[in-house]
Amino acid sequence: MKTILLLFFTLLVSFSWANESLLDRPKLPLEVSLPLLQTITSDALVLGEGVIHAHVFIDPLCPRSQDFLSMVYESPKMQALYTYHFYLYGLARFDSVALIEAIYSHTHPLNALIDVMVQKKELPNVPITSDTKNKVARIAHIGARVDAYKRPYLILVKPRNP
Amino acid sequence: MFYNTPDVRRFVAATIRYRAVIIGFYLLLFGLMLFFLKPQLVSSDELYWLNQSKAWEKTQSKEYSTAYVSRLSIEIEHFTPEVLQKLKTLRATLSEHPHILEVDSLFAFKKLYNDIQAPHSAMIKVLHPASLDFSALEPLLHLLPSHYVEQNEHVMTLHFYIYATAPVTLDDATVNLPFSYSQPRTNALISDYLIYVLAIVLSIMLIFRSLFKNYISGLMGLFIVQIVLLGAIYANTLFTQIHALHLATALIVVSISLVDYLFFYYRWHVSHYKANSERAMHKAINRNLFPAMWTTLLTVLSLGALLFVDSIIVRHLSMSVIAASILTYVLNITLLPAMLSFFHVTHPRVAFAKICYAFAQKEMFYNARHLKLFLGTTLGVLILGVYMFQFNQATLFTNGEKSGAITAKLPLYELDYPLVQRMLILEETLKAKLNDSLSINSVAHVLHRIHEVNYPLLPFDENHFLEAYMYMQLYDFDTALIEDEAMKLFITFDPHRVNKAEILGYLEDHYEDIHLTDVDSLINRAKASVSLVLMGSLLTALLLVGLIMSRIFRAKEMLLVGFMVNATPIVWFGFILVFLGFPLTIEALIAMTITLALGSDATVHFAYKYFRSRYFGRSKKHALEIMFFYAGVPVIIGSLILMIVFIALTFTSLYTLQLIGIYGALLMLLSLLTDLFVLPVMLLAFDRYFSVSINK
Repeated sequence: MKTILLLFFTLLVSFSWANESLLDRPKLPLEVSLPLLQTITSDALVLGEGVIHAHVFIDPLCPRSQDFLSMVYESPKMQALYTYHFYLYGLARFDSVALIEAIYSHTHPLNALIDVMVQKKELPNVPITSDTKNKVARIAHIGARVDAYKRPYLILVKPRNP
Repeated sequence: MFYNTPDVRRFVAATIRYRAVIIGFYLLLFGLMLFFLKPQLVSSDELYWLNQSKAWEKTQSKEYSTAYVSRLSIEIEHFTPEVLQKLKTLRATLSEHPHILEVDSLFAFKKLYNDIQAPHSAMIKVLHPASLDFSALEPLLHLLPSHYVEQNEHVMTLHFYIYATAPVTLDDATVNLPFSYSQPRTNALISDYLIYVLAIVLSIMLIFRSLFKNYISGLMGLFIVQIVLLGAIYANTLFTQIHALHLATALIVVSISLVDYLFFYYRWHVSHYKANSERAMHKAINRNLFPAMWTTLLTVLSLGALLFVDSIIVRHLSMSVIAASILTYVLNITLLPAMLSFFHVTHPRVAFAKICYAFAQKEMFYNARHLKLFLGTTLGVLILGVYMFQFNQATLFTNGEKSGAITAKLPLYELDYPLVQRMLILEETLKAKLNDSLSINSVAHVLHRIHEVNYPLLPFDENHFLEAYMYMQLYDFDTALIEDEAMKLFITFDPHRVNKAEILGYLEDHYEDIHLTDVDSLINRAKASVSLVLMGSLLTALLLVGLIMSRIFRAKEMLLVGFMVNATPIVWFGFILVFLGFPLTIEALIAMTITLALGSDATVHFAYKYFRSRYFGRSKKHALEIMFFYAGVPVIIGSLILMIVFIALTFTSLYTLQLIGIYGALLMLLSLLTDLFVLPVMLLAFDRYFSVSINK
């Protein structure tokens, strides 16, 4: 009986967790997430040259991430206002780790990212190095630490006025 | 008061001798004024108000553009594909209108939603109702904000807010659906001017013809009114630098000159009953010379102080009244005798004489308690009015606008979270204070909407601000809502439930950095500030009338008579308006100024005639009869003509003139009733010649 009750309780808790709306999860405070992001800044694919820094976790196979990148890519205004730091962080349901590694392995990862997500092109096969695998793992680790629970996940940093 | 009859025989003889010169001089003066002045009558008061609007100056200093806002409301019983097509055609037609800058409606609205493709894959998206077909749009209609789509039981009302560089008129052919339209203030149509002039000319000619059995009385009256009008424009040009006379101000001039003219003409006319033309002329002059002079002096003294008030409109109004009073007096004792000397009256009898005797008979036996009760109640209502004016002003005044929209700009040095928070608090405060139907569309409002869609259960804080801001820029909301380095504010509300003046008053008091950009709101603020000055001036003028009257008649009781008789129609008029739920407007205050100017004239003439008769030993009853006959009848005739003119104004297409028409006619009636029923009784009550028997 005790086992059944324990099972029931565990099921109830996991059910509630599963149904937690992805819309209602609070973001980590910037003081917490920014130092974490700084550890992977060099791994980011950078687009735009605006004053405000947008750290964006995206999944190359996620349709909403694709929409986001397309809009930003096609908007000179948005590239002038923001500097985007794209981190490729796959969602489990899209199973996109192989693609992420392929993009990072490309000679021009940003171009490869745009080819895949905006132009919907296929990437040529390239060998995946351990460095790339480490990079992807590092991003995934920080992504989990900053609780990037949806894609695209945005963390915006505006430099303070002097 | 000096009651002895002045000897005017030499003056009248000289006038008659030089009548051709006098008439020629005035004709030349009239011609010269017409030639040099190019007199203009204007119907739109926009320029007057904006000229002195501090809110306008503030907006101009930032070089923000301004617009006329109007609301087109379309009523739809059944939303069908045909209706949608008509709406889209209408939208296209409005967009092509040369004066229209922007049309805000459900078609311009951007519906935000969170596009959740799969768990953990979500992004804010925007839906444009304008791009939807009928089947997609219909279910969406009830989700749109109520200031775009209002759902009632059987009818759905769609609101289109039109922002234009000039007032836009709409007709059935353009809209092609049942609609109502809150037109911004516009200039009067030619037909309005015609109604205005015809009402004055016809009512003067017809009433004078039927009463005096001649046309010359009306023609002379019109000639004098025209010269006074030109003179008033000239005086205003010199003093206030305004070269045109507003229709409403012109009405003040016409009213004063007409009634003052009547006192002289009437006396000349009825004097033919027992005297020849020359003697009649003597009586017209010597019986009116002093009271008319005192009324002029009274006007100059009571309204003269207003000439130095820091308000061009108040100066303009008071200058018009003063100029009209002085000019009419001068014309009545120079031009009028010169013109009248050519004529002789064959029918000196005038109607109303019997009514006057009946009034005198009845009022002799007035009830002192009832008089005290009436005066006490009037005073009570006056104190209540002053209290409401002092502490509840915003609810008293409005300019009757129906667009339900205000536009404004807030200088934007940096769009940050505290600023957005401040704007959101403004919206919340106004909603709580006034009505939930109010909404403020601005960058702040859009940011909040984005956040609500993105994180429905999380508070909108600094942490989420930048993300919302980024989406706002991504979907280009900012280009429509930020302009000239300023945040644009579009405030919409239900005009039937929210008093626009209250919103504007709150903004002015608490958000000094907000600059109004719609013409109607700018005028509203200017009117509100002038209303204060004008109301204060009216009260001061009332007190001054009482004081001066007590000085003229050398009796302190006349202070009360002067004050109460002039205050009574104004007090009860205000009470009727507020009691019936009509807000006071600047138009009401203008109508009150006319009443005060005319009321003080009537009081002096009535009191002069009554006390002069008593001074020469007439009984109270006889003095009352003389007073009614020589002062009451001209007042009745003048009031009747002016009531007709005012009522005619209600048939014009201009809201301002319609209001002045309704208010003026009501005030004229109250003023006439006060002159006929309150003033004589008060004079009886304060009669100082006790030694003379009633039956003597």
